[in-house]
Amino acid sequence: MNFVEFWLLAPSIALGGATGALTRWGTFRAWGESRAAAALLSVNLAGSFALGVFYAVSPGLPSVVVAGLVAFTGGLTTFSTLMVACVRDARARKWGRAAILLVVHVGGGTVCALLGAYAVMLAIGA
Amino acid sequence: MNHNVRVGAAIAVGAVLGALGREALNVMMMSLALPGIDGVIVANIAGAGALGFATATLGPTTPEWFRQGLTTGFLGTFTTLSALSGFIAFTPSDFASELWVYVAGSIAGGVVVAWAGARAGEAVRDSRHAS
Repeated sequence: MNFVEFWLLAPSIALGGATGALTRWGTFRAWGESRAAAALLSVNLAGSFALGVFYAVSPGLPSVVVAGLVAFTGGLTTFSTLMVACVRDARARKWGRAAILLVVHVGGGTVCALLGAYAVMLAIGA
Repeated sequence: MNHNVRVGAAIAVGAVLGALGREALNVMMMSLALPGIDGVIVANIAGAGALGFATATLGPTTPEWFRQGLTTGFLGTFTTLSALSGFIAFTPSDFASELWVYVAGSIAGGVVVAWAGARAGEAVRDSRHAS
């Protein structure tokens, strides 16, 4: 993507990002403050799965749609909150918990992305 | 304006800026063509540091719409886990060594910078309380 394409796709990116972030906020509200860790895991895994789905269907879609869908997954998932949660655990000397958090989010996200793409291939019979 | 509507609007505005900021950074980094560094890794590490700082400095006196707009909206959307998951899942195996350097750099950089951001934020907060 160059800067001209960026400006052409900007409304789609903005809409996708805002929708993803509001979905993330709604998910955290639904889980409640005491279950924020579960809320963070659910948005990161669901967003990674959605990215896998969009990755598999993107060759047949216009770039304006792909940009919006990818921005949605970017808005739904968050890396910064995961890092701050890890630091909080590490500073409390809960090293194992911090390591597990990283493995579950990054490893689980990768598995979910692969599953998303695989689900599309199964659905279209590829 | 209803409290939830105000917070939601602030998150939406922050998210628009975060999504566009990350994508603009990505385009800029692609034009620089630095080996092993793209907009996602820069946004993720910088965003982790900024969230560590913001979490330590934004206290209960900060209006919730501002706090949520900055943290949940802007910084939450500026950074992304799905792109990192996608890189790991879909990068061809020929680039495995570059990929693992990228992933390790993202995580180590994110943790160290978030830690530094939190420490810096606490120092600012403590100096504010002392004065």
